Amino acid sequence: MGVITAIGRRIRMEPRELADALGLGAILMAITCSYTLVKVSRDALFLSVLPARALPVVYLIVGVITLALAWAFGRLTRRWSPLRTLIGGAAIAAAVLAAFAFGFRSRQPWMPMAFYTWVNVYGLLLTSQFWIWTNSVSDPREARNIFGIVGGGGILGGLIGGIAAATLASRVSLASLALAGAAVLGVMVMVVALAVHRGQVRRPEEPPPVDDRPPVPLARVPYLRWLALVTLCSVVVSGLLDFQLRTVVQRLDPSVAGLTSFFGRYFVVMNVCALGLQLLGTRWFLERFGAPITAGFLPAGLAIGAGATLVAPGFWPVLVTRMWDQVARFSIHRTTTEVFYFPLHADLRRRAKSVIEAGIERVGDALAGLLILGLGALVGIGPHRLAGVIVAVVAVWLFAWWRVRRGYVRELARHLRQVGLTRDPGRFSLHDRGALQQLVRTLESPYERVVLQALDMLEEHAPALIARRLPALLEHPSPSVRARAVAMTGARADAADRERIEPLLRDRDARVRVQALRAWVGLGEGRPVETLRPFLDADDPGLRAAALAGIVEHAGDEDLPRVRALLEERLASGEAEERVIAAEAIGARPAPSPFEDLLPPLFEDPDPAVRRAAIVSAGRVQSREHVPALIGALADRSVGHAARDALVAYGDKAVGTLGDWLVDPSVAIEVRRLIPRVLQELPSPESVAALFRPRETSDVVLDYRVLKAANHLRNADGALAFPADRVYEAIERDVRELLGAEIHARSHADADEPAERFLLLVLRERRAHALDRVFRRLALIHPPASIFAAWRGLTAADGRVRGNAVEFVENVLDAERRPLIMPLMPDADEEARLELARTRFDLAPLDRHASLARLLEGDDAWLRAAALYVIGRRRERALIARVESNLESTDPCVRETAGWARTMLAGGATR
Amino acid sequence: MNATMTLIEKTVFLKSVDVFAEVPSEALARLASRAAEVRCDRGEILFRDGDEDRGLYMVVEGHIELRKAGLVVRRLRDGMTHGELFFDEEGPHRTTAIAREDTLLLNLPRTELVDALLEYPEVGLAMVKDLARRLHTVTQRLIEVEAELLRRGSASPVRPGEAIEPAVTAPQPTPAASEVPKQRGWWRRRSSRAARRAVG
Repeated sequence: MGVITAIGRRIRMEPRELADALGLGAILMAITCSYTLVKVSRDALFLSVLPARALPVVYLIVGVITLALAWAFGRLTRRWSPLRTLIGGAAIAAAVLAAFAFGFRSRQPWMPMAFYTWVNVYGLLLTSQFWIWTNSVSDPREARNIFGIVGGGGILGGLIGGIAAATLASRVSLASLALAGAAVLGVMVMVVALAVHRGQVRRPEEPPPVDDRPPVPLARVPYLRWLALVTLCSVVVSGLLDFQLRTVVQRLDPSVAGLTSFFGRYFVVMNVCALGLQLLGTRWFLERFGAPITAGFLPAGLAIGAGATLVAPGFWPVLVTRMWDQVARFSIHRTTTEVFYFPLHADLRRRAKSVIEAGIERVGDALAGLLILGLGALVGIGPHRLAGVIVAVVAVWLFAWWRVRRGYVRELARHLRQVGLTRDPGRFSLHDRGALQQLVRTLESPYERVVLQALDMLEEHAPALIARRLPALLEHPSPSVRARAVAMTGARADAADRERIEPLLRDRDARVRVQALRAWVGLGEGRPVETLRPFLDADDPGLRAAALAGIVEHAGDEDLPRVRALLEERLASGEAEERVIAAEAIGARPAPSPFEDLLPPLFEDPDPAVRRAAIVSAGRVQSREHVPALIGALADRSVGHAARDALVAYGDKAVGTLGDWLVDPSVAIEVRRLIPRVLQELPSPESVAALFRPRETSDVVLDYRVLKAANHLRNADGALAFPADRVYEAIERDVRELLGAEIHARSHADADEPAERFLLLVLRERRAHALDRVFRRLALIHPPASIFAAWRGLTAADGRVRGNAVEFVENVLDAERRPLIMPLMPDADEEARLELARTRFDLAPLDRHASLARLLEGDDAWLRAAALYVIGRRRERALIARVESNLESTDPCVRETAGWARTMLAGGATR
Repeated sequence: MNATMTLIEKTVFLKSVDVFAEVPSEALARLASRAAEVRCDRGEILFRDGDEDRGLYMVVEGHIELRKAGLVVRRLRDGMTHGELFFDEEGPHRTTAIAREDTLLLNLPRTELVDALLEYPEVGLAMVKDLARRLHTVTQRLIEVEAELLRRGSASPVRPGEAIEPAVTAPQPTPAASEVPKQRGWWRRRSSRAARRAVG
């Protein structure tokens, strides 16, 4: 284990990961070694008996048979775990190979064909099954680290198998080669079974499906359709290239020994190149470009190679193109293609892989055969004609790859959301049609509280749905409901309601009567002042309030002086209750109200209830003159909510002033901090502009509230655009802060004293908050729900979810931002962060003393205070000059702590 | 013991209190800036049953005994809190608090506690956990006391078939946070008076 740890450290891998990678690589090596060993004998046997032109027919037959066998194998092993299927499949393959080895002696004419088919079947099935298992025990991030080594094992197996075949071909019989292939598989089966028995083999982390719903048909998943098309094109191209090469090679030397020798050397060279690319390049490609981009390299290279063949058909262009196909296919392409399956649910993934790898790939073989046959029948087969077909298929492949690439990011986001991390069971949209209908039905309830609550909710979310139910509510047994219903009926001012309101003028309940009177005068029946005035002196304040509001609302121009007198009389009252009634009534008249000038003095009323009522009325009157007073009232605890609602009621009219106050440093910080909460309720480009007016302020709380409000706006309206340059500028600052905090935290990692532990805690908070802000800002540019799901996924216990989250983040970021943000991911390499800190921000690791000194020079007042606390506690006398420089700080906490620290350093305090 | 706590010391202390353990340190510093130091000499009464409630008390150092009807209800030692669980905003203290040693406390006005509760749900969660733990302890104690009474042949206060926890009517709704009047000035006067009284 010590060697593995040492190697792991050198190649920046966890020892556990490296051990897993080596184990998995060894299994794949055995499978590929066996397959290559047998494949060489298969090709030699086949080509010695049948000409290369028979290959298309063979492709067709093999495709159909493989498809059937793969389907049967999948059905048989459906209930088996991926590992069990792999071991069982390998055992069967070894037994059948051994049977073939003995069967060669019979020299049956069907033997070469049957052997060719079987080698294809088992090679594909075992390789596919191996990757299904590997996929189930890892995640995309781990895949980047270990798949290079695992794939390298596979290539090494091919290399060993090729060398062995080339060496042994002229010395031993083909049966012996087949037997050797069977033996390799047999040994692998025994070793893996033993390791399973000893509990040394990783089990899948994924839980089995928890519901009994029927599985989603694969064809219904667009992402899988594109993935299948990519695979199909890839296999068709590979088949065409294979045929192209064999045709060219057979023309050069058609003898068995010559062909065996050529293909033996070809496989060796190909595997050496693939191994080199796999071990040296795959990880680099994946880290540099990410899996989706890297997956495009193979078709892009093939397009170039096929183009060259088209221009200059001959042995070398064909060989080089086929070589690139095989080298890239078994190295970077294999690894990146595996990553495409990670976002899928385990069950879907397994089914998709079985169908695509064992089914679609065989269909591809068959299609390649058909294409070759069709081409031969129509225009004749030649390298340049094949190259033309290859170019066409590669074009389709590249288009499908582009769609898969886009779909991959979407599927990652969907997977992250689906794992339940972002599901909020308490979140229930009242705008949902079903929910609203349910709410409307509750209006039939005989219970007063239920009906009133439903009215409240419907009035806020879907007032149009109340209208049809109002007639019934006017006859509700509860007076409160009737009063509310008649008030709502009156607000419509519809003459057709006259007959319904009229009986309620004689209602046994005074509250209903006064609301009915109010509605009555609203319909133009009677003079408001005369009709409602008798209720102004009622004992019930509710009646008085309703009557005055009715008068203010419906009074004609000729009555305005009398109404003003009534209002002023109540406003001059020493009774707060009367002032509240008057303040509420002022808001009853639609804007422009002739009484709005009465409101400003009420904003300063000593009684909070009066102030609140005046603010509510201001929200209804919506005069611009009141906006500053309302903003100022935000910080008043007793009326802050009302002020916020009133400002929200103004809509965009208040946004400009809110923005002005937000950037104005002369405004009290308590008020400025509350402005973002108003703006977040007004989703419009103007609100976004207002929130982005202040650059970074010195107030952490304000900055954070601005960011939260921006997130709120983004969630409310996904179409709102945010200034990307400003967002990334802020992200850069956040990353700097995060890395700075991390570097300082490293300096105090072995803190053994409470004050230093507190500093460490503050630094870790700073780091966590900075990362939180980075994601909040990313959500302003990218889909917010998916970014939030990724943010939650990064801290998930399930490694697969974490891996998918990181993979998603990497793929939504553009190449410019990726190096800035990817090292911040929780599972990222610490060295990469340090490197980023050093190269981008000139931040180098510090010792404890230097860290304290640096913190005292920083802009972060809270960190300065925490550092001063450590200095005082630890009696760091060497830092006294820096402590004293903080005695004049503008921050009271820093100033106070500096004074305390100086006393401690002078030995003046014993505490 | 006689020196005044600095803001950062108060913050470090608050971070060690269960209720505030999950609140970010900088937010705690803002809370700490509103926390007043209260000192009680041994034997001094911090507040009496029926006195106006002054919010949350946290023992920094010392020992406070909460008494009701002559019985010791609870003992508060270093890091323990009293007053975070309240029936209503305006209600009086329901126990008498006496210092059993020279004690240093921090006192946080109720409105600040409510603000912290609204801003950081973790505070509420910690309070619920604490309440559940204390309820469990009290229930256990009640069962023990009842068993002891039965053993001595005394009549149990809990009648057969009756639950230990009696049915309670729904309390009056607490006013919304926004409606909580700002009492900083009021509180400051009270707390300084309390501090003066505590000093003697």
